[in-house]
Amino acid sequence: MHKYLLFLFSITFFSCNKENPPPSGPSVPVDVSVKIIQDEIGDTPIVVAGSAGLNFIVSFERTLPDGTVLDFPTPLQGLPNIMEDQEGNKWDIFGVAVEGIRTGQQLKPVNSYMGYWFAWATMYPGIEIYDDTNPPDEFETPAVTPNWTIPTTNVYVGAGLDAIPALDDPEFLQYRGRNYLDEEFYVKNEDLVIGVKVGEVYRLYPIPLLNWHEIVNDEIDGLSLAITYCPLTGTSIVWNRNIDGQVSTFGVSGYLYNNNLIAYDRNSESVWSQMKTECINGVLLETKLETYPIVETTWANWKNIFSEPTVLSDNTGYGRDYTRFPYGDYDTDHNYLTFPIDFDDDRLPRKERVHGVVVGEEARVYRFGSF
Amino acid sequence: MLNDKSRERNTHSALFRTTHAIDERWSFTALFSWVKQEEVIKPLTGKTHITSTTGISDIIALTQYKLVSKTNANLIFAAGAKFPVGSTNHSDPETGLTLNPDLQPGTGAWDAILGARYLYSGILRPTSVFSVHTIYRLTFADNRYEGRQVYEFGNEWQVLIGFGDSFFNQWLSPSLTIRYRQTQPDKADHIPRINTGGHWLHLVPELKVNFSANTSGILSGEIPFYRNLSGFQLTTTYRINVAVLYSFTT
Repeated sequence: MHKYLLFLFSITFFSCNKENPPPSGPSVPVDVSVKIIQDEIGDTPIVVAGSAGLNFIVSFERTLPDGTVLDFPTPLQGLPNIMEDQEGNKWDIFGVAVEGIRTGQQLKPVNSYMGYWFAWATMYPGIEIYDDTNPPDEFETPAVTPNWTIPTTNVYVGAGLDAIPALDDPEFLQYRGRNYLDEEFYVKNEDLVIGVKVGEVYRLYPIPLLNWHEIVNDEIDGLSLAITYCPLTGTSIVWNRNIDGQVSTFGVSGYLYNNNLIAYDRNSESVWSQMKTECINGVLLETKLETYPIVETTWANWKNIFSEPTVLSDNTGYGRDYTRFPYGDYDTDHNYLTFPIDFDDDRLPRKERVHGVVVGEEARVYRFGSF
Repeated sequence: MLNDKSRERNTHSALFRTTHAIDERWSFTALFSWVKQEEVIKPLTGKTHITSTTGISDIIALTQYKLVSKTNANLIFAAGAKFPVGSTNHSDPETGLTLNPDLQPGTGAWDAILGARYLYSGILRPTSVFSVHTIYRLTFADNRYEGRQVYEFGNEWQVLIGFGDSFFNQWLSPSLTIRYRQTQPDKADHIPRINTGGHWLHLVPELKVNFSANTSGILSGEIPFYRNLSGFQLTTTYRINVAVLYSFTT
């Protein structure tokens, strides 16, 4: 006997939610001294200042608009001022002269940011490591895909468009220590926080919140900015949302290139690579983003720098627990990559946080161990 | 927890199940399905995005053996496999990029399936049925992304304990089932994914209406009341199933 059952149709609806892991964070600072590296990439003299204990590295060009090339023989101890030049000027962590004859002048930032080693190594194959002579393994660069500026071999769809919701109307709060017990605030002392300065306005964007939203469409002092962070590559980059005279907002496309964030702009629906800082597909193909300098360091440091810092509020309208990291032990497990990458360079552990500097076609990374 | 209801998943499926009885104890069952997977994302600002794929899903084939066959009790064992014939390469029409695996009609991986089912009728009323059902699914690896990643779903074990009855000359058949599901962590390139695996306990109320001898409708739901998940992961909250069944015998 044959028996047949035909389910003419069956419709299932379900919605989703998430469960949370234990929190994670960087280790406790030990050596809090600031050290300085004076370097050249191509013909560009740069200064790289950092501290392993204070958990920051920043870099600037050493050439001023008047042609003077500064030397920074003296690191300063204690934030926000980090170095002194041969003329006796003191410079702060944002590259602003705060004492001396050049008070108020700004060092030209270089295209630089923190990120996981594997991300720098795959985006810039063969990248130099400062103070390291080990050569990279041989690598083959995949061919660029037509209508893209990158090879799409390792572009993957990690989630749907806007499944990770960008923040469009961010709220800020003035953090006053006396108004919060530290254990009540969603940012902990060891958490990394991005600082952005436009004119005289400073704003702070905690990475525990950016882990969940990845993009904040903000306006600072009349400037439309996208503050972006990719939790899978550990990279934070800020760019101007005014592109060719049109102000757009950016959303999270859900695509990942070598695990790195691909944003999309809502005006043209073109897609943009965060680390390449350019439009990689769409009507604005090959358009470069205008980036803005940032400083990434711990919440404890920012509280030392500012008495009442302006910080992104966790009142976002989204029901997220910003004290939890959404990707388990991804940030510490060197074996764990979400998607395959173009080139896996084993000179350093994959998830080591390094400071990368890009000047023209050349790129170099600096390790905390060098400071 | 995500409390903003910004994501919704809809699965529409048409299933065709055929059972061939070899003798009074042995039978063979195959399940064919067509699915439409739909993801709806509704951010607080901006527009709603809907992504969907359609296609033939994986095929399940089972051999069943009826160990106990009495008027009011049956014990059936089953063993079989899931054949990965469903498509796994649906792509975004605008960018040409392959969509995420959970939107694909197929899984790309073989499964071995073992199961047992016990049915006992007539506990309180002649038409009442008590059932216990257990299924173990042993999963195998899938070479995703043109072989650049080896992905293996975690093995799964389910136990379903249900009680149902029929009323109005078997026109209406309500039932209530408790479903326990446990999965091991998935593995990518042989490394366990910390945000996968866990334990779920759901209550499954169901109402079946028998329109005729071979046509019926089913409305069922799933209400979660216990979960213990590894790490942080997307999981179902509430589920509603609507189905129409037509059976015929040759």
